[in-house]
Amino acid sequence: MKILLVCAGGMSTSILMKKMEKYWETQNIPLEIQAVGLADYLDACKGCDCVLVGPQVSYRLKEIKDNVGCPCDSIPPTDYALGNCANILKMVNKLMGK
Amino acid sequence: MPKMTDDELEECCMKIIANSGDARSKAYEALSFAKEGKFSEADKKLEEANKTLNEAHKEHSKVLKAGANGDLDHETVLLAHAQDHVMSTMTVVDMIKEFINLYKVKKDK
Repeated sequence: MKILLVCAGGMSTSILMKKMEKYWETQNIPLEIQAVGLADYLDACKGCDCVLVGPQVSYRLKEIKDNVGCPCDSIPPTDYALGNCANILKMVNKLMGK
Repeated sequence: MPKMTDDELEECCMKIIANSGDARSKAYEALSFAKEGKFSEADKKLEEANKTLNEAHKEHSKVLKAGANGDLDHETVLLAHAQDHVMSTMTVVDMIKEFINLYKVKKDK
């Protein structure tokens, strides 16, 4: 699956991205993931299966949802802070209707 | 007090970023409510924003304390980034409080 992570500058999502890469590997699910800032998400979202938004930019979730054209939601702050990948995977599956 | 490990520091930073960011989002939601004249909802959201910001502040204090006690080996770019988030959110929340008051004053006139 191809996932795009969006936050303000792309820094904290990069940390989450590394954790997700590791977790997805343990679950044997192929993953293509990218972390970008708000300025770059429009170009980066092309061909993505779903877009996850950091809690710090969830006030712009509506705008992002309108623009990306694929399932999109914000990550709950606790899962984001602790890098709770099991919960994030559940959320992704739910978003993609699996 | 034991030294703060790199992992603990990273966890603190992520909590600061997630909570202060969440607080900022809530503050903006409060502002949209006020814009529509829904002031009780706006006040409620602002209260939530304050609570969440407090959580971020607590984590921030933890790091500052460790730093002051010499329990922090080194600062990281992520820490600078987390502080950036918490400071800007504090400003945003304070300003939004003022804006909401302005909307209230405007409505009463």
